[in-house]
Amino acid sequence: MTTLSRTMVPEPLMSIRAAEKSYRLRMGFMASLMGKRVPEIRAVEDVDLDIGKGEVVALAGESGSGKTTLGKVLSLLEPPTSGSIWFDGLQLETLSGREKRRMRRRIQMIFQDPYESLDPRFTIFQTLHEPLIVHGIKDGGVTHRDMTRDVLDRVELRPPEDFLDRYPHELSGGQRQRVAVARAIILHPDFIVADEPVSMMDASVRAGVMNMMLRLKNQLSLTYLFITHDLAVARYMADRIAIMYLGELVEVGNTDTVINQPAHPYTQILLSAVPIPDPTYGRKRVAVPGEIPSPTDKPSGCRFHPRCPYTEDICRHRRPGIVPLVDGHLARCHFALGVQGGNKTKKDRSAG
Amino acid sequence: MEDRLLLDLQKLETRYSVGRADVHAVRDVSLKVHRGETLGLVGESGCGKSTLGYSILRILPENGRIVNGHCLMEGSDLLSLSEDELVNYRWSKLSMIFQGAMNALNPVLRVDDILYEILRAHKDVSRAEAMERIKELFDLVGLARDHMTSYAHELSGGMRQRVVIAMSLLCNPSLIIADEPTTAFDVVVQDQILAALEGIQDKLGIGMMLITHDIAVIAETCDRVAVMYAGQIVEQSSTEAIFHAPAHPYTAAMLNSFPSVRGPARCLVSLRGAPPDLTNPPLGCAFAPRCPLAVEQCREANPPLEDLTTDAQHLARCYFAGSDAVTEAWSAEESQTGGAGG
Repeated sequence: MTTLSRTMVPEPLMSIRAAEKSYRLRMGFMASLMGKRVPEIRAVEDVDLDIGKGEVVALAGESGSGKTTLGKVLSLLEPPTSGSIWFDGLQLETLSGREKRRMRRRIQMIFQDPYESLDPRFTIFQTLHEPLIVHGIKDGGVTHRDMTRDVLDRVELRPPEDFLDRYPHELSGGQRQRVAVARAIILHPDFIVADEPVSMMDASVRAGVMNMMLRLKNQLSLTYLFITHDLAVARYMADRIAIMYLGELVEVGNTDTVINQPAHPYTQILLSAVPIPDPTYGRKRVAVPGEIPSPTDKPSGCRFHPRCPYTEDICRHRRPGIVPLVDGHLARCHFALGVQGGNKTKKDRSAG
Repeated sequence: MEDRLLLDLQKLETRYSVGRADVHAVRDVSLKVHRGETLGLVGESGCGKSTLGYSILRILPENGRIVNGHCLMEGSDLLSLSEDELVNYRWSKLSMIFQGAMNALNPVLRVDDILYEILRAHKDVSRAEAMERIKELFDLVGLARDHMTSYAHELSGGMRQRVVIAMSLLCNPSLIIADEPTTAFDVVVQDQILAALEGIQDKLGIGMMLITHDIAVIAETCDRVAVMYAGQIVEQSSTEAIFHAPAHPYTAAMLNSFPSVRGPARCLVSLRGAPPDLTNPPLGCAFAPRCPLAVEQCREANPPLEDLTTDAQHLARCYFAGSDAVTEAWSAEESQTGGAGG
């Protein structure tokens, strides 16, 4: 049903096919005695995605859409419940423990909150040194100290000597996130999953970290999955944007296309809600009824139908498949073409 | 305009004692807010914008104190009122929407009871009258009346924030200070809250002071903007002038550091370095160490807040204010890196 053969991704570095991740909720002892079914959350459902070598793919969506879960699956922190992931030609599920560990060197993750992701009792040197020890990198010709100095220089914490012996609490939020980036690149990875790496920063600091990440991508031939809830940030960083809603990818396409000709009603609504930093722009507000539903209780048919302005009968009953549009642009909507072209009439409904 | 004047802050100075030193958090801030006007107060974290809000309401933490200035609200100086007199101002003339307040609603009371308690503390109202008022406010902020009998945990974050907005309006204040009211939310919910705030402004015509670091929110909701840096107002003008003809290099940098989903793709500017240590504020311009235009004079003496018009419509604290150098200051910066996005 969901074939992505038409996607125009040159040489995918990572390919995800029908990936799913479910969690079982804990339930009370009594409830289990009564033989109730263990509730399950399908945080990620039926995700197909190719990420090309050297690409930046932004994964965008509201909180609760499953973007962090998908990020964890792609960075090997969590195994998928089903489906398969290929990385550079290897299928990850089939790897032995030793092979998997080698693979972890090539895939790194940067987390949202550098206050929590750095050990407060480690100096910056210890933080950067730890992955070298864990992965048994030789402290030889190029010493570990040299390697840590080199990555600090690359993330523009200069001079590196001034930072090596400091603790995270002595650094600003932006500097800490730079340390987290340094830790991610010290093992020379190919692929980095960055989960909202700039969402806690002030604008001018954020711009600096984003520019640095783009520069590092070019210098070190990296590939990023950049998770963000901010479409303006996604536009700045990404070659392609993937929009997630309730565990599904609902739209994937080139940044320009997704931003300017979105084909899924949810993407249109997300875009119309982004405030524009220009007082003369005159943005038109589209009222969306309700908020993102709980993933324990997903709507039937199209997951978005209760909030969609274009809902028809088929949307309530049948879950839409992926509709391929031009240039590898994909949208999971029965009416993708009409929505994109603006030929679909909206149902009149009042905001709830 | 003057008869619509609501809040007149004059030369406000607020400090925090930290150990033996004093942090000069708010330095010589003068501001006016008029009826029917939304003033945006924008700046990076730590620039003193929340402290300014706390100072107006006189709810500074223990180690904070106002050392100088006046805060005139409809003629009386809030800073010289006794604590008892001030109680009549809080909520009923002046109320504040605190950052993260939606997470601080009493979990064991129903929402209508939380609001009723506040109303009863300030006004002699019956429960029935109070409920009428609460219904009105729920309609105003776009909350279904069914939610009146909910507990906080039964509501989503966006709904709780609307409860907090309704709460701030309970006693008909003439001025609301909203501290980062949209910051914690996803874009769709943020938009709903902005719509609620705009609706209030349209219907009630009160004064509003919106404290935020998000210039896109400022662009869409504010009539005038005050830009704060290191405890001082560095620029103040109409929203249009701030966005289209920024006169201070810091304002220009801020505008150029913000990505947008609309408009041409461009490189974003980042500032090097950090704001100054305010335990020992610099003699010269606080922004000089990070400013590409800085000259000797900037480091020696802090520029005054200069009027670029004749009627105080556009103020800027920079020796180069109004010159083309300011708008061009950042064009050469960051040219070596670029956005990949289309």
